[in-house]
Amino acid sequence: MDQALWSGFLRSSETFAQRHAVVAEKKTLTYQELRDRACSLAATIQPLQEQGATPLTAVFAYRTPTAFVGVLGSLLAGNGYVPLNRTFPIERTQSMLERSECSSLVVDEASLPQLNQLLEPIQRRMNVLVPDVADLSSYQSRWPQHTFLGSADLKPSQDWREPHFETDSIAYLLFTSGSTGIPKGVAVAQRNVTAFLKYMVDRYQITENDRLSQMFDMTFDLSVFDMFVAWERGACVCCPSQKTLIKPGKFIKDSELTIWFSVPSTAVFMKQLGMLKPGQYPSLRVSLFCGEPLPVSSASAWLEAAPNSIVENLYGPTELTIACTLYRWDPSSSLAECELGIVPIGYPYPDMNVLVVDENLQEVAPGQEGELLMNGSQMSLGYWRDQAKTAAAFLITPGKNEIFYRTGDRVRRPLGKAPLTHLGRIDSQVKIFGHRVELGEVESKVRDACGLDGVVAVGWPKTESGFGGVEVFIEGREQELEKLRRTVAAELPEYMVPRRFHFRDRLPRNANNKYDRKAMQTLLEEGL
Amino acid sequence: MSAVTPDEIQTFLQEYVAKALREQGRDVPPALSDDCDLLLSGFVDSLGLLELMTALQDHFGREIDFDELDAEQMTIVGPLKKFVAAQLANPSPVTPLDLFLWPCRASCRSYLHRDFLDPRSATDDSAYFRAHRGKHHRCTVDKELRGLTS
Repeated sequence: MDQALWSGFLRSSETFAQRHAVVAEKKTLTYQELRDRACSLAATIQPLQEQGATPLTAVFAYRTPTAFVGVLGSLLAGNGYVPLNRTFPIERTQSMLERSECSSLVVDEASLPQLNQLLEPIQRRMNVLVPDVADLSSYQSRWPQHTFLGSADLKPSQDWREPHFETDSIAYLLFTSGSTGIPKGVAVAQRNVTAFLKYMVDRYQITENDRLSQMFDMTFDLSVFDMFVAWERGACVCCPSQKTLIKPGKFIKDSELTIWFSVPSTAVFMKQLGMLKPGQYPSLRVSLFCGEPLPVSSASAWLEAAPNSIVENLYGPTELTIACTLYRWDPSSSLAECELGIVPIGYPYPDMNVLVVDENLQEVAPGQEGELLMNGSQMSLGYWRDQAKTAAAFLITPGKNEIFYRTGDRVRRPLGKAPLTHLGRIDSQVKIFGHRVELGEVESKVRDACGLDGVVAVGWPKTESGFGGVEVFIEGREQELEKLRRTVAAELPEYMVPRRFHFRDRLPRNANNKYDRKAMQTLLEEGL
Repeated sequence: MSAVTPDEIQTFLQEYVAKALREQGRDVPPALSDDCDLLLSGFVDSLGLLELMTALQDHFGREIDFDELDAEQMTIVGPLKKFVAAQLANPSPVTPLDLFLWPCRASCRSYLHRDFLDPRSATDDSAYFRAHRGKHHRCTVDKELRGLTS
């Protein structure tokens, strides 16, 4: 039977009441303290929630104990949580709050200066809970239609009653970042998350002695791993401040982390900044990367720096709940399985199914490339209040009797027991003079030639049948162009050789810090 | 090789931030004041700051040991500038290349009177060393070395 997402935390809070559950802002909360504060918040929200109201609570808090209390408190109140981030542009946050239709909002003290602006476009009546602050009278008089509740208004934790739980109860609503258009809200059910957690805690044999990093902001779904994997087994989640994030090496040592989880970019920069010296991080026993392609060079440098750790590359879109395939990096055998200098995304989780299809949604033969479709226990509910987009991405393929999610990622259908290899996005494949060109392949050759990891290829200029050629953006200092061009040209057919190389100190990235190919396309359109 | 001035670092930071903001379609501030916190002002995020550190290294062609600067200070323009300037004025950490070249350098007449046993002890040595890296084998020092050892 499906279990509520909060049940693991409640179990741990009984067994490990005095152990540390969270470290944030240099403050530590034990399981008992976190439970008391979250139950108190939930008990305050519960009676305010009107019948038939959208079962969601927004959490406008960033890397503070209150952020964690807010997440748990929302769930314990019977609501899913909607993470909001004060480091995002306020318009984006306003639109998320507006579109989520939540009627309750938890705010930490540091985010309070943005509260007035955040509430401006909100028409419906809101309950605003600010557990860090006692006096909210100035807000109350400015916004008489809303109810403001400070620390003194919170109900005692004993008043909390376990809420009704349904199979499809939402765990969280996350807005995926996109370079164009309005972000889509992905509604993830509690059963999706518990299916994910079950596999993860068993695979990594998490115990109460583990200490997990929280490099991800809560607006990035990978943060769900850090919190709930830790709480499932009584471990501690260590949340660095915004400033500590820029010293990841020191953070690992000072926090005595055993489990690391970040985007590969962090490893890439740590390597360049000399923070991945052999044997530097002996405390780590599990190192995980997800969110973007993991370069082979970063995986092997990390393994040397964390010699007691395993290194795994995880893959998964938000729509399939955090991660749904993985690959263990093995220095002796992995190299033969890598394509384009990128670590494979590996094998699906036990409860997830893979289908690799061509443009007509027909399954391709083993060894062939195609788009990755997946389904299984982690397939989310779809896009919030958007049936058309949900129907377009979650579909029944010809000859099958079940719904699959279209990832938009290009993979190779494995031959035999080979791992899945990620070849780029579907939209990263372009036609140049009729040739089908995988931009990832161009990027890989340029990466090898210039020794820099931040390389993005863009089809350019546009023609009627596709593109006239390829141009490349490189993150780093300008290099000798002729030499670079010669090296790349020796490896690629002429139509794939980049016509121009654009060096930038920083390449455009989207809100989740992934390279933004569309933004680079726009730069070319605007004549750079 | 002449020392890098805080002004040069300021120019670099200014251009770096301006470029990053322009690429995001955001307004560029006229100047970065010394007390401007690049992170808290939202000009760069944490990953962007790691990128900036990498870019500083690339631009000035030297490894910079940022571990020595407190994270609180590192994101503020004034302290960051001062720190980078001081780091660039310091001798490079010893690399295998340095150790390989060490006997050549030790034999160079103009350096014979120096305390060359610890390459990190003399600032001028390091500047000299940077300037001569790679050329060392071909320079007269090499001839002198052969003369001395033969």
